[in-house]
Order: sequence, then C-alpha cells, then structure tokens
Amino acid sequence: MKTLVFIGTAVLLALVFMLLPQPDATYQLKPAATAASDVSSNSFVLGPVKLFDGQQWREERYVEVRAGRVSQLHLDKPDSELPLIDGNNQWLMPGLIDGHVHAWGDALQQALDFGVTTVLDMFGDHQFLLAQKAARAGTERTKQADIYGAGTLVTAPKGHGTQYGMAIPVIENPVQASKFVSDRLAEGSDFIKIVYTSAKALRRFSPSIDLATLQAVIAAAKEQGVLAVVHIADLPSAEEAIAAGADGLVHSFFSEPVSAELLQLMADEQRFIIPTMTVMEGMIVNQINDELLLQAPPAQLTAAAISSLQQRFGNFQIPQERYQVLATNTAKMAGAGILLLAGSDAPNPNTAHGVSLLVEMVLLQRAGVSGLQVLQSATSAPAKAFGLTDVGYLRPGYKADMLLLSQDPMTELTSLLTPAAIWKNGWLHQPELPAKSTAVTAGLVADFNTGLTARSGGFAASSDSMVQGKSSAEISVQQGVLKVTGTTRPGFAYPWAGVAWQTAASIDTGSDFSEITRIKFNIRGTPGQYRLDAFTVGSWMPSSQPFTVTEDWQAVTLPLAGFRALDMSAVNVLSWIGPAGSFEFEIAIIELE
Amino acid sequence: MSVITIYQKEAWYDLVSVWRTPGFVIPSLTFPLVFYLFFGVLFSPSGSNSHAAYMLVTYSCFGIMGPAMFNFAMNIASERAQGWLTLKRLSPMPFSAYLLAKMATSLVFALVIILLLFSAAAIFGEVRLYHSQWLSLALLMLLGTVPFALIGLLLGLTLSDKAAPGVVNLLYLPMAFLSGLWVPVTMLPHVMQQLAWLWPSYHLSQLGLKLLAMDQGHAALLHLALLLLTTAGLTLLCLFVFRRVIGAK
Repeated sequence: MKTLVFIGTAVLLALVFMLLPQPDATYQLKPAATAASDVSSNSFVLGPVKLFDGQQWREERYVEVRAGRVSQLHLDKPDSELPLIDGNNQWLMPGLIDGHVHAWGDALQQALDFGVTTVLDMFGDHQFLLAQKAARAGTERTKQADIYGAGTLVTAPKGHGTQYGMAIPVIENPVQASKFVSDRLAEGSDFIKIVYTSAKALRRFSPSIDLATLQAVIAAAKEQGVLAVVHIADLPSAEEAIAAGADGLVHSFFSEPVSAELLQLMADEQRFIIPTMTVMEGMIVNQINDELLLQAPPAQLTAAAISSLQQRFGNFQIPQERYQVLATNTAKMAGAGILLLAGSDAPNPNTAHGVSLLVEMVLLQRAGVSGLQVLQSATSAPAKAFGLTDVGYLRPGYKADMLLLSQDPMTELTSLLTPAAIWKNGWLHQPELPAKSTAVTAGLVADFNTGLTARSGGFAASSDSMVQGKSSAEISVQQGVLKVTGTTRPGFAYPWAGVAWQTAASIDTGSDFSEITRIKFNIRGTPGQYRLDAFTVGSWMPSSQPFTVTEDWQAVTLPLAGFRALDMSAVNVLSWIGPAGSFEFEIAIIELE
Repeated sequence: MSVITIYQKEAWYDLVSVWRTPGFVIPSLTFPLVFYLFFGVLFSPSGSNSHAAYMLVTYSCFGIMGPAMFNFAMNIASERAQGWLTLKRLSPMPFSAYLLAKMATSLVFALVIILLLFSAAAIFGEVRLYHSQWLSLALLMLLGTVPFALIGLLLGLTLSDKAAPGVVNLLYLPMAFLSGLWVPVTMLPHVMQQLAWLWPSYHLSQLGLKLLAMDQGHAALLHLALLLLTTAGLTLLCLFVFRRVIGAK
C-alpha cells in the first residue's frame, strides 16, 4: 500500500513536470512559398545555391546544417539522411548584423523580420540586454535577432545619452574609469561605448568627458578585456579617440574631410568605423526612405516603423553639400582598407529596426564602397570587429543564420528587402505581417445622444496618471454633450489630461484616415489653450495641434494635414487635451470631413 | 525493526507533526506564492515575459529557504527546551535519523513550494522553459535547501525556543532581500550588490538564473564553490556546536 502511494506520488510529480509548458512547443509555421518546405527541423541540407560566406563567394554549392549550425559546405550534393531543401540556384548569405541599434520592446522581432539576425546595441537598458542576450548562445527556435550590447554608455554629466529620461550613471574624472567600466561589465555589457567630443571640435552640442577621462576609460576597458568604441561627430574627436586607443568609431562625420593621418592610423592599427550614414542622411538630405521604402512599403513594415522612418530631426540647417563630404569620407575609409561596419542607429528619426540596415548598405554602396565590402560590412566585418564567434559567417561551426535571395546582391542590393527565405538558428523564419487598419469615411463620429457610443472605437478619460503622473481626468455624458473635468499637474515629463477617442476596436491596428481631410467639433469650457493630439499605431509621441477654447460654444475645425509626421493610414488615438491647472470642458458633435 | 524502518518512521512522524501545525504550513507555502504572484507576475513590466521567469528563480530560492531554516531552527530549539532532544538521544534510535527526518520534511515542503511556484509561473506568468530547465531548476532548489537547513540547525542548537523564530526572521528576510530574491540584484545599490556575495542565497539564485541564462555572468563554478564552501563551513560549525550542546547536558 505504502509503495503504491509512493509510486503514485512519483508518477504524479513526473506528470506535473511533463505538463509544465515549453517555449514555442506548439509553434507551427505556415509552409513557405519558397524553396524552403521543411520547417520542422533545424537540421537540413540546402542547395544548390551561390554561396557568400560573409567574407567571399565560395565554390561550394550545398550547405549542411545540423542543430542550427553550419556543419559543412559541399561542392556537390552530399549523401545525407538530412532533408534536402532546394536552393534553386539562388543566392545565399549570412544573416545580417546591424552594427548600431538601440533595442527595446519588439526591436529584435522587427530586426529579424528583415533578415537582420544579430544586432549590436550601442546604448540601452542593461536589464533588457541581460534578459535578451541569454538566448544568443543556443540555437533554439526564436522570433528575435541575437543581441550584443554596450548596456549603459559612458558619458559626462548632462552629456549626450543623458537626455532620454533614463537616469544613467555618468563619469566625471579619469579616476573613476576603472570602476565605471567594471560596473558596466557587471551589468552585462559586452563592450564599452564612450561618447566623446574633443575640446578642439568646432561645435559642441552637449558636455563631454575630457581627453584624460577618455584615455582612462579606454585603458580600463582594455585592461578588463573588452572593446571600447567611441561615439564621435567630428574629425578632431575621431583623431583623439583613435590616438587614445579606441577599437572603433561610432558614426562618421561631415564637418570636414577626413585627414590622411587618421586614414593611415586607422588602417595600420586595424580600427573600424560604423558610419551610420542613414541617420545622417535624415539630418541632411531626407530622401532615401521615400525613394527606397515609402513608395511601395515592404509588407513586413509596420505602421510604427513607417512613422519612425518619416520622423525628422529638428531643423539643423545643415547644407545639403555636407552629405557629399560624409559620402567621400566613407569612400576614402573603405579605400584605405579600414574595416567598415553597416549600422542603422535605429530607431532614431529616419530609421526603423531591420529595414534601415538595408538602407545603410545601399547608402554605403552609393558612396562608392565596393559591392563585396558592402556585403562584408553587415556580416564578417562586425563579427571580426567585435570578436563574435557565432555569427557573421557561413562556415562550419557558425550559426545557420542565413538569407536566401532571388537576385544577386552584388548587383541588386535591394533584393535584400524581399529575401526569399530567412533562417535564424537554422529555423525557417516567417516574418509576421502587420494587421491592416480599416478605412474611416467622412461623417459623424459621435453626437453623445446615446451615451459614449462612437461610430468606431470608443471614448475614455485619459491623463498621465496612467504613467504615474499627477494629472487626472473624468468624463461623463449628458444630453448630447461629453463633459470632461480634469486637472493637469506637473509630475510627468509631458503632463496631460483630457479625453481620448480610440479610433478602432484595436489600438494595434488603428484606422485608416487617408480619406479624411478635416476634423470638426463643438467645444466650450474653461478658457485657455487646448490641443488635439493624434497618435500613430506603435508610437507614443503624439503630433499636436493647438486651439483656443472660450466659455461659449464654438465650432473648431482642424486640418489633419496640420499634424506633423502623422501616418494617416494608421491613426489609433485622438485626444482632446485641456489646459494646465484645473479645467472643465464640453464637446458636442464630432465630425470627420 | 530494521534501521531503515527507523529512519522511515522518524521521517514520516516528523512530517506529520509539522504538517499538523497549520501555523507553520500555511505561511511557509503561501508566503512565497503570494509574493511571487505579486512581484513576479502582477508587477511585471508589460511586454516582458522574461521578468516572470527571472522572478520564478529568485522566489523559488526564497521559498525553499523558509521551511528549511524555520523547520530546523524553531523545532530543534523548542524540542531542546522541552527535553525532547535529550530523550531522543537516549533512545536507541541513531541520532542522524532525527536530523535526516527534519531534512526530509524540509525537502517535502521545498518540493510543494516549487510545484506551486512553477504552476503559478506557467499559468499566470506565462513562463515557458524547456523540460530540462524546469527539472534542473527544481533539483537545484531541492539541493539548495541543505545550506539553509544547516543555518537552521545551527540556530536551533544555539538559541532558546523563544528567540529562535525572531532570529530566523531577522536573518531570513534581510538575506533574501540582499541576495536580490525580492527585486533583481541589479536594482540594489552598488554596495549591497557587492555584499550579496556573502549570502549563500545569492549564489543559489545565480546558479538557478544561470540555467535560464539570466544570471549576472559570473562563473557557475565560482558560485558553486562558494556555496559548497559555505555548506562545509556550516557543517563544521554545527558539529562543533553540537558537541558543546551535548557536553553541556
């Protein structure tokens, strides 16, 4: 009897453990429309293909993948028990490495959807890095790119990097360098990123650490066995950083032509640079996204990504010719044999995760970098520069992160935008296509005669109390009027209180406002300066238009074109925001025209 | 009666006697569960399911420490005060049966807590781990009760029955907090992060996190060595104190 109970308990225990859920155990992919038909395994033979291994084009035509890693390259079809995936003589290359991102949220998913299988994070939340970097050692099935990162960057008090609302540690003098670096490593940083502007620079945008501190931090990083890369924006800073021993430069510069000394030094000592031309193109020229992406957006591009690509930097008044200086500098560096890394700096304005790396590669090519170097810049070059041993090449032992392309990337780089297949850790990756938003037609949105009913979506009070701010708002409906009472108090970086109209049932799809030109509503209330905020799907920064409210009813009409950088095809929230302090206002009859 | 039977009976009755103390059973089972649901699941930053997994490890660690320390410290202290310990030693039963019984009870409690937390993590926290990870985490936590049982034993042998619960709490709760079991160790002030190295619970939780590749990145062997060293030290200390307690009687 006792034995029975004992065995019973043991069986029950085993059962409980068997029942505990596994990651993506039931995850099933739809069969790909392309060559890759077997998605149930990360062991297979792929071929025949034209193979770029990250460094060079190879003779071999078949890739043997076992448990998510390249096990062998074959000239002819190998005699193997593994399933064969027909490569249709297409072009195969390693998954791309984005040499400069700032990743949070779903950045790693977005990256992988565009074939970017690894990203190098150049400053972000070290907790995020720590949580995500766990996955990179193995070859489990995943929807995310691998991440290597700097964690928190090294900058001066109030320096570049401190402006994003995240409280970060800063460094004040060279004495702190060693501990500052070891603190970063303890937090999980894979390398050290330093922000530096030379005292000799023509323009200094924000406070910078001094040269002695820069030297001390680089020395500390070397002592503790990690790479030190330096964010620079001008020639003197670049020269001093390289002289101080920086392993690489983050960003190039357009302030003046690169000096022969710098070229020589960087080439001789094998230092690298991540020029991030895309983000600078956004500061100066602002055309490439329209040309390459926005005319006919790739299917994987989400509304949020589009809005990020359309976002603009503040007006820097930089003359257009400056971009040519940048392009010439980049070409000279490539010509001098300096290792060039493609990096997008997503999600800064003018960029989005994943897709902007392809834009960067196109910009490198147009600057005059050779086709082979461009392909290397997103594969073997970052692997070499950062000492990555798992990714960047399609050679035995490396991860089977691969892109199959229907056109030759040497001549048609944009074929990277629509890869025939993406493999991550040897698993075929099916990009998730964003949900479509439904179109909104002109007419009445709500008249508040039957409660809060809106033609689509719904109304709700909205204030910064949802993000721990101190403002508050309440709404009520009576006889055709929506009444909003609220108080806007400081306490959050952007205080707000008012009423929000979620334009569709799902906040993730929003509504298509392309056919609407104006929004009209009647309003009265506490006199003051009000504003209407409009949000694009996935973006948390609204675009605003102000209007004045008086104690008497008046009709307000706002043109939708007045919302800067609003993606009309995916508007998910419109908010009527009251003035500072206590207020009360009433809205009646909201119409779209 | 064979020796094995003596061990079995002693273990069984120790478990029954503890099980019939609701004042011990209910808090030691619900405390970690409620804490985990609160801090690991409810307060999880949205969009992150790694938080619940991270916290599962630390709260499992927190959970198994409790019964091990309390069962040993409080029961031994009170049984010592009641003269029960003397009686046990005078009986022909090998004294190790007494200690192993207490250990077995702690393990049963640890197992129940692990099952509760794992289920909560799977159902509410949407934690998804590989079978190997679930199993090795459970095994690690079961083995990990040993140093805490030794701490409990040490306290039980040295403290009066009235002082024991207070002192155990005084050690248990700060140690859990300072080891980063309640909030991730990386969120603690720098000095506390360095102090965390003192606590066996820190090393146990880091070993657990290592299974999920969420640890701070120090060598597993280092944590393991420190944990074993602590255990060895505690064992020696227990032996020493035990001799003295016996000698005094």
